[in-house]
Amino acid sequence: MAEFQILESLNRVSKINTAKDIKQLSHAQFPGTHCPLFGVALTAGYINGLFALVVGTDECSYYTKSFIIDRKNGTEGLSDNFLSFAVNQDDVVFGCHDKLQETVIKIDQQYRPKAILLVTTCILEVIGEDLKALIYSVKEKVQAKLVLVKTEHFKCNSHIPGIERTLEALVQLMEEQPVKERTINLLGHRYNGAEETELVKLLQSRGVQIHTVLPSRCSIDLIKTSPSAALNIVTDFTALTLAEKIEKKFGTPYVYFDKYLNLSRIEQGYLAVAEKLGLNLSSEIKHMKEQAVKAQEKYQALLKGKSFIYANTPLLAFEFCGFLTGLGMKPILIQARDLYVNDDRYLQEILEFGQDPYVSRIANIAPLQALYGQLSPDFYIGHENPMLLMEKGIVQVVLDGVAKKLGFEVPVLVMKTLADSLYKFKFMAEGGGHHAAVV
Amino acid sequence: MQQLYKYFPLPSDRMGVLWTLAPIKDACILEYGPAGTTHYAVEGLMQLNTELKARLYTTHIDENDIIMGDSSRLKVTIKEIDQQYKPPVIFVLASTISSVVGIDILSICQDFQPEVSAKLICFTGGGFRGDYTHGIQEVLTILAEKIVKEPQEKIKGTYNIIGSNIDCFNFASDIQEIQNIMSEGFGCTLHTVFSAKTSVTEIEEASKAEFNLVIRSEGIDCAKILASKFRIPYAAGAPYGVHGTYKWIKTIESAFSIKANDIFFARQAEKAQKNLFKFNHAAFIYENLTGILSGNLDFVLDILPLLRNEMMLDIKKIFVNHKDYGMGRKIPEQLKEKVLFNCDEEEKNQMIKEANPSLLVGDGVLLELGAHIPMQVQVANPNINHVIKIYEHTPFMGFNGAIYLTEVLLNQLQANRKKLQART
Repeated sequence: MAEFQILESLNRVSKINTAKDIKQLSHAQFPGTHCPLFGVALTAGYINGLFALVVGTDECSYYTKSFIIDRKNGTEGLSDNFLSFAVNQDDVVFGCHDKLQETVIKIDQQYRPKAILLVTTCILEVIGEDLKALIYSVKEKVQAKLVLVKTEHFKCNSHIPGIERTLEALVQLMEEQPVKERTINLLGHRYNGAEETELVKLLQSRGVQIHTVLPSRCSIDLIKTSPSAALNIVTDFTALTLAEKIEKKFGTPYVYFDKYLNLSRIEQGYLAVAEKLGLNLSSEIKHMKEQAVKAQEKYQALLKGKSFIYANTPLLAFEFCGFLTGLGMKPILIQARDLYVNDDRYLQEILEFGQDPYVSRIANIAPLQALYGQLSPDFYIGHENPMLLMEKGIVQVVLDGVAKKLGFEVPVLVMKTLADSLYKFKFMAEGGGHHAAVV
Repeated sequence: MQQLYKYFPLPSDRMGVLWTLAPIKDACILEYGPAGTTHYAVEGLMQLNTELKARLYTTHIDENDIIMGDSSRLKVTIKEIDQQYKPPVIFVLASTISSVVGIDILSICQDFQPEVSAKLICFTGGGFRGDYTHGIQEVLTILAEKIVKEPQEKIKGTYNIIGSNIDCFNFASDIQEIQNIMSEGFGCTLHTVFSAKTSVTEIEEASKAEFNLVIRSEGIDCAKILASKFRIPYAAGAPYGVHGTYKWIKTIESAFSIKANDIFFARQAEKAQKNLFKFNHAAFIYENLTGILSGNLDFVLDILPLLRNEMMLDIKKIFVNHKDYGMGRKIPEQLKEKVLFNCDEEEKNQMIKEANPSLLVGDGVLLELGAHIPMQVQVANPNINHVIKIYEHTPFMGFNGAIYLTEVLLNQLQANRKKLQART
């Protein structure tokens, strides 16, 4: 079992106290984490009236553009609002303040955007090009509002700061508004169809209106007027800083209601939202929870005892694994980006269920691939080469679609997908179809 | 000089290096830079209709590395890869950041070489040395210089293709077509491809081949090195159209003193000619079919005679999607007005407007810029809408390439009859 020596370099859940305790499986990383620029691409593409200008190397802007076009082609409501300023060797040596100023003016005149998001990349931060000064010097010459997001990857470990900073920058576009009772904003929801979620459907049934969904259903005008909402509901931890800033600047309260799986946590989230909006939703919440408990009992019988490697979902890594551990499943290894808000609590939950799996940094699958055969998990939850997992007899589950949900529907769909995947895998092994469940 | 882009900037030398190394099975590539660049590059391969065959790793990089110039991370990672995977060679790539802050990966690797078994080969460009063609040329040349070994034996009737790379939109089908021509027409067998379809071992043993076929200018230096080191003769050029393919066959006959199967080629040519006649017949009813062509330099110059002389299309402008380093092909005098290097988006827009062609034959961006132009055929990258190419029998090269392009253009004619102007 020499292969397992590689795992001994990792910490288990019980030893994770700070982000530094989450170790890499190897120095050589493949494919490596995405950078904050990717986080900006995931976020800013939704905002109508905004143009993003990526200032960086040919490579950074080329691949970002490729991603944006591909995503726009496959996602309703997304526009291609990214432009690139490709820096050259002269810019690195002499700076590019004047050229950038001309470029911003040109974009303002040519596209007439309501706002321009200037995005600096690694190279700009290394040479120290001061885009704050640029904004100061050019803002009177353009009609668009200018905001800045920095995306250097050498100061962080993932794309998450890019999402956080893009959302946070939007507060600069907001203005004081009279507050409308029973009106909400959803903050951090990066998927279409927020109206179809359990949470929003329940609130709308009681007369609550959505003002805007940041970023997936918004425009510069809606952002400007978003302080008119009586409550912000943060549906993704990446929008917590934005929510705090809005509260500080405009006094709008917020409730943190992420894509939880833990039924009690979802219930508490619902109750907090109801209280802030002055609604009595007790009976609806009770009914929904009862339905979820029934589903849990049904799926638990199928999933109990099954082991898994957690790789990557759009959900909260440790909260997710805590829930599955509570179902009697066995986490072998959890790949995590970082430690985020409330993760200490979620880590504790895993331990309370009697499990203490390994934890590694995410986006480094190469050294792990050699261990699949020996670790032999029933499930691999996240993105990987499907053929490789199939050869090892591992059921792959990709849960991208679950991120569109909010409320008790999240854990129910996760459990259903896991159970369906088991069935499909068996069917596939007998000569049937696809083995991976993609939701 | 253009720096603001709505679509794609010109890919850099670093991108060219990665694109040339990525398809080499068993190659080990280590990028010394931010992880995000590597992750992006892996996903970028999808646009090129290929997948990563090499082992690609990143060291990632943090502020300490940048501010303190601490390169221990690079050494530790090289050591780990060497021990764990025992690759014959590790290609170490500078990132833009490591280049700009002046981390001398070449010296680091030279000093560190005695401590590892793998051969360390560095690419220090970092993205500011030129465009992607520079990177492709750099890799092809280094493969010849440092990877190809002295042959134990020569394998009779084998050849290498130099310059089929994944940045070529139709590389897989074109390789297949060259293989067909060479096996059916000359009885020769493909040894290796630099570098769209190969492995480290195949490249090491490339010197066993009898001759080299160089199908893009970026591969000429590679071929010259192989000629001088291992006495492998080469012929340069690519087969497009009936006349162009015949000319190419004759070049091969005389360059390597091998006899072509004239009957086989005559049949193929006749078939292609008949189909071209169909196109000419169908196109004749329309007033002056004009076009704009784009792609890399060799591709546009090689395919132009097919479009212009055999399909009777009036090609008004030719956009070369990279810079003119003066190292490539000479532009014939009569084309100098038409051939334009590395135009920016505004210039292209302007020329599309002025020429108002009936047909665009080019890359995804050209087709997007000229979305209103009725006939469109994608023949080059960038592959903006991720057009999938998985069937390997739709070449642009050879007699079959002429037939396939005829089919594509006939369908374009058919679909756009209302928009094209008929002769009066």
